[in-house]
Amino acid sequence: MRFLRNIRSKIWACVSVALLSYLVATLATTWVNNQTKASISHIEKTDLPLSSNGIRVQALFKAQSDDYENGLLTGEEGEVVQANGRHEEIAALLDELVRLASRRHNDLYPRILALRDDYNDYFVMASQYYLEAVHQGDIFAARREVLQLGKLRARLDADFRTVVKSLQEMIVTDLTNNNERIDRYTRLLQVLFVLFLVLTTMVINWLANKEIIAPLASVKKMILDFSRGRTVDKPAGSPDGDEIHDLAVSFWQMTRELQHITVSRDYVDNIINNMSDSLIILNPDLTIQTVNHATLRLLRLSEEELEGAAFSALFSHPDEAVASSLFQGLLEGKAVINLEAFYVDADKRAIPVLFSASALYLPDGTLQGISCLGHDISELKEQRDQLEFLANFDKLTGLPNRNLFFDRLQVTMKEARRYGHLFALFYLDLDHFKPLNDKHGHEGGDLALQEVARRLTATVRESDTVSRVGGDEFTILLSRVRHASDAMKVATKILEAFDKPFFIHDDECVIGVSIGICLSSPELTSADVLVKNADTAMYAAKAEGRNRFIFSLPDQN
Amino acid sequence: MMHFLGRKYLGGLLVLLGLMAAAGTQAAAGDSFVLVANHNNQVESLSRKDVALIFLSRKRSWSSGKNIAVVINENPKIYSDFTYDILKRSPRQYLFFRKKMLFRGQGMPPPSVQTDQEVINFITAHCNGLGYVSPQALTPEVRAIPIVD
Repeated sequence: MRFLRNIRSKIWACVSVALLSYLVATLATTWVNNQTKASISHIEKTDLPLSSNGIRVQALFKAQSDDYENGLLTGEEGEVVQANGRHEEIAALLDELVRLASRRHNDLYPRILALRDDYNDYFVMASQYYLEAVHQGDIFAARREVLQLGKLRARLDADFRTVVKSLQEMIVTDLTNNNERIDRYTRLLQVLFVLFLVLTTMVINWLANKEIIAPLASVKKMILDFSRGRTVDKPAGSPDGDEIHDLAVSFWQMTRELQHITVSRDYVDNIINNMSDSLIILNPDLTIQTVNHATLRLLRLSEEELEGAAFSALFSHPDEAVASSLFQGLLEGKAVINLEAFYVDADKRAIPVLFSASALYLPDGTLQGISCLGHDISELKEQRDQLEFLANFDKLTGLPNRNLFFDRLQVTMKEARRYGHLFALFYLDLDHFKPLNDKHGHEGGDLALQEVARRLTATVRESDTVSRVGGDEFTILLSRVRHASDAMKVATKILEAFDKPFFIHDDECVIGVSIGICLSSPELTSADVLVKNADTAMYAAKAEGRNRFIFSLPDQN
Repeated sequence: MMHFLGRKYLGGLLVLLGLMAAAGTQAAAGDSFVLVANHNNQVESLSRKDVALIFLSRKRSWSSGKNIAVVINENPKIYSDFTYDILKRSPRQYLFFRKKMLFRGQGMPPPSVQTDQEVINFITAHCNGLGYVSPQALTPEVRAIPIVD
């Protein structure tokens, strides 16, 4: 409907329908009123004059009859003349009655017409005979005519009576008819009113629904669709639509612009799922809400296995105190940045991660959850351990190197000072190692050194430290000895261990060792001096014929 | 209105007549006039009431069904006696009664004559006739009808 182009015209259309039905109702009421008025007017202008004239003419006729009677009974001519004098008025009234009755289409008109004719006939005779009778002075002279006139008058009198009665009844009938008509019209109006009310309500409802409510509902659906992330189609309809259509088009344009200027959820999901670090979102009760793909890859667990699981089963830290206070702090809003911790994967294997976490809050300030970022540092840690190993251990034998040896010596010295016990330092050098090396090459030498390391390690306690401090030079730190004899026993055991032949490439060979032993004493506070003493003692053992041990004596210093 | 009062008056009169007859106070009827009828008439006697009704045109036929031909004798010697005695009204009142009757078309009033002889002639001529004459004028041409109380 082109004329319903805006909401104003639509509302006016509804109002116009209501006003139109009001107009129809008013017209119907007016018509009914006019009908009633016409009916009442008819009663007023025809029925009432008819009735009153009827009564008057009847009364006049009666008076005329009385005058005639009096004249005839008394013989007074004047009475008869007076009676004759009433004729004009009676005739005029009868003519008026005929005129009025002619308006009505019922049997009254012929009756009144006949009455007038009868009366006129009667009067012609009466005026003549009665006057004659009075003149003659004997009523009985023309008694046949007088009797006939008397009968005629009696009939006329009866006719006058019935006509007047009929006229009066006519008024009653007309009034009754009028009342019935009013009742009928009232009922008709009531039915019409109800009909128009229903019709108007239906039309207005239909119009409002089609032109206002349905378009608004489609706009609402658009908004709902958009809020659920669906793509909104351009609203159908002509370009010169109403305000609702304009609103729909504006909203559609807004969604288009919003799609251009805002990051879509898919986009964010894409970023999160494609990032290399593990992202785990926790609920406030520290169960897992959601994880990204990197987490699934890292832990080799499925999304179903992870979601809803307790995060504590997944997380570990060497220091349990740190682990327990960590989450409490997160829930209180403290962030954790780059903490070295472990995630436990599907095979219960600890994966070292650099763990960062912080609480997520809703705009109203309530805690929504905790985001946990885990950066896998397995390789980094391995490299670092490797470096650390290289710095402190001998790569070939796996024994602590000179660096670590001195470190442990320092520690041992401090403990010995603190607890007042003895320790012993052995300085060992392999005998004739160079010829062996020359014979079997570096590879053979390396094999020999590894075997030496194994035998040395096997002869000492776990708490003691065997180190390789040079090419074929080793040290043994006995962390706790009661007496020099303890060190002697160990040295003897070492020499015995070297008695067994070594096999290099199935070639049997014998390796000897010279051992210098330095026992600790409160006076010896320098590690360098201790090592130097042991070294000196070792050279002394070499000088004495190799493959033996010699104690560094205190007085040697 | 006058008509209506007249009838009422007549009714009262008839009641009065009945009362008088029952009391046996009737004076010597027939002293001043005699009812006469045709010889062919079978009627034996008439009550005073019937006579009054007949002359007031209230009763118009004999028991046989024949119309009664009434004639009024206006002989001054007996007329007033008849009207007062039988009709309980003056001759003038009776005249008015007949005039009204005629005027109103209620019926033809009985003819009136002036002498007894005219009555006798009328009765002789009419076999259903009824009239009255003075006793002296009674002739064998007519039959006297006694009035019984």
